[in-house]
Amino acid sequence: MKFTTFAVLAAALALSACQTNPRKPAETGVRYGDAKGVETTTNEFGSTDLQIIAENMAKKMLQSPVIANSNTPVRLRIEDVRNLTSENIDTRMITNRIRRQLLNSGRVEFAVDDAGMQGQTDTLSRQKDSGLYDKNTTIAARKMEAERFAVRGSIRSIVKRGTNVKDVFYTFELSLTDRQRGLEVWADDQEIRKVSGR
Amino acid sequence: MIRRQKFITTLVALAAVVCLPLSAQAQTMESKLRRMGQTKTLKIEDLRQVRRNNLLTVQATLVHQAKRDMNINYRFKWLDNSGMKVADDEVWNPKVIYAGQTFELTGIAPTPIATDFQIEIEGFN
Repeated sequence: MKFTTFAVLAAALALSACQTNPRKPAETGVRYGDAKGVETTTNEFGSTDLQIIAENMAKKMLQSPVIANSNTPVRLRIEDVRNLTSENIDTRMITNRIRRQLLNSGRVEFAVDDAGMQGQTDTLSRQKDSGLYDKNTTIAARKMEAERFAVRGSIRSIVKRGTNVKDVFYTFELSLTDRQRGLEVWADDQEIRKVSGR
Repeated sequence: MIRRQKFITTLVALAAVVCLPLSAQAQTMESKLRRMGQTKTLKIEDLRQVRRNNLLTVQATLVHQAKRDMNINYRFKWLDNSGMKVADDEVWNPKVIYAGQTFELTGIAPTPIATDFQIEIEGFN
């Protein structure tokens, strides 16, 4: 009986030692923000601009005749968005977000990009040449499907400064090119104006 | 006596059927909005939805009945038949509304499984 009581007390002591002591945000100065909230810390390109551009442009593209009138998913290849502003913008974040939005609609498919192609060829040679795999389960060569359309985007800005005011105008352009015919078949843009100052 | 009760019940039921569509319609438009902050001056005038390219597309027409400009943030929430959310929350879209302006909020569902929606509006001066 005594041993049991001792064991229970020891276990309780061990557990209390492991317990973390959560502190309130007011004590630490750290708190979580709303990832989807409107961020206006400065008037430079921010998370809200990224999200607005990606969501709206993906939805506009899904309404384009090429995709809307197709009975099967349209095969695309997306190129990195070109940053033609004076700011340092990680355009891969915009590209990735547009890709996800388009894919989730179920209306398009993406051919692997240059970065993914190396992994694709590595997988093919590993499965084919290593002799370790059941041939009935390995992927076959010359079965990849090529894209028909290319998605291209760019972001530009006009910045104006007054005595007490700064005006930044962003325009994001996205286009769809038919590779086979060499024609641009759809293009649209999204504009954002941010003004800061008194 | 019983006949009279039946008649009254039938009359009430008939009146309810005749009146329901109008009141239900008015309630439905407003019930699609989730208001936050200062949105009293925003009145919903029209709300329509179509399924375009298998994606639910919604357009809400609102009017700002005030003499001052205002700022709003808005976003759409997309739901399935059972009222469950079918996608992550959208980003809040900021918008400037001018005094007396009639404006449209347009949303396109990100996925074909969305069959219903809510519009969240946050207003501030």
